[in-house]
Amino acid sequence: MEPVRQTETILLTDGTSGLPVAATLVSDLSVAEMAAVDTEWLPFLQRAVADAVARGVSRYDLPEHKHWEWERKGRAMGSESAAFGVVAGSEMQAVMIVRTDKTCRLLEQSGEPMVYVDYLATAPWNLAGMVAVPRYKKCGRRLIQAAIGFSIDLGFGGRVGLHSLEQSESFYISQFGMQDLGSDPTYENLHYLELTAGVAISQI
Amino acid sequence: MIIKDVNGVEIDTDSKAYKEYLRDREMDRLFPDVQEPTGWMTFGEVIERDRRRQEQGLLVERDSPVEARKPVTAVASKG
Repeated sequence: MEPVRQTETILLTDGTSGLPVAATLVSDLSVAEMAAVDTEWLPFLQRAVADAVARGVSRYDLPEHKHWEWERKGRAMGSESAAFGVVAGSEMQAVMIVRTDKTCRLLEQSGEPMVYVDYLATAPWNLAGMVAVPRYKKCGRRLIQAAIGFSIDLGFGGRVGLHSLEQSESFYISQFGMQDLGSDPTYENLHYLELTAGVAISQI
Repeated sequence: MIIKDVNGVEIDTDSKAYKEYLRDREMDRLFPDVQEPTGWMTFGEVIERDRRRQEQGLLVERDSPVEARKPVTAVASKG
């Protein structure tokens, strides 16, 4: 169920001007590409966190990164997983790992196969609150669209599921029409959300 | 119509990508306060999460909750 290596031109939004900026969606990222994410992202994050702390921002309000070891994630991926990335300006702007071995929980599609979004993260220079002006916007949106497209390609009808951090729940609901199945006690009490096949088709 | 992006790259306004860009703008207008997913938790959120785990006796290093859920559940069920 691994994706074939493909690239697709997409548009992000330039963080300064709000104008469109061309980028590339890459499917089936290699381990080397994921290792490069660690190399590019973490030094920037460490400098940005140090700068923010120096400006008086509480460490509690700044991003934590100890779980973001993309090379290790890449090496741990099995045939049930696939990685996608958004590249712009020769740098990885966002990364997503999905799984294809999960089934739906919504009653109307219970047990049907879906694409489950296991990880999704944007580069630290795109984080509002981390930097004064994010370089690129809409990276996360493009990756969720990629997950929907992958689900369609696999014959899963566009069905997608994920556990959402609290700050992103309203995004998935308002902008993709995902249904909130509530807090999941087996998964950090994060809310589990799912996209139906019918709604997914309208998103592509 | 062909326009140019901020770097001078040509964009076809009839393309799917440009239509998605226009849809982004409309979404921003309709939902100005909605944040895009970034995947990042703050240090404070991580501490709070670990505190909750500790309260539940589930404080273990786990990366993907999907992968880690089974052993954690198994440990919990023994108790």
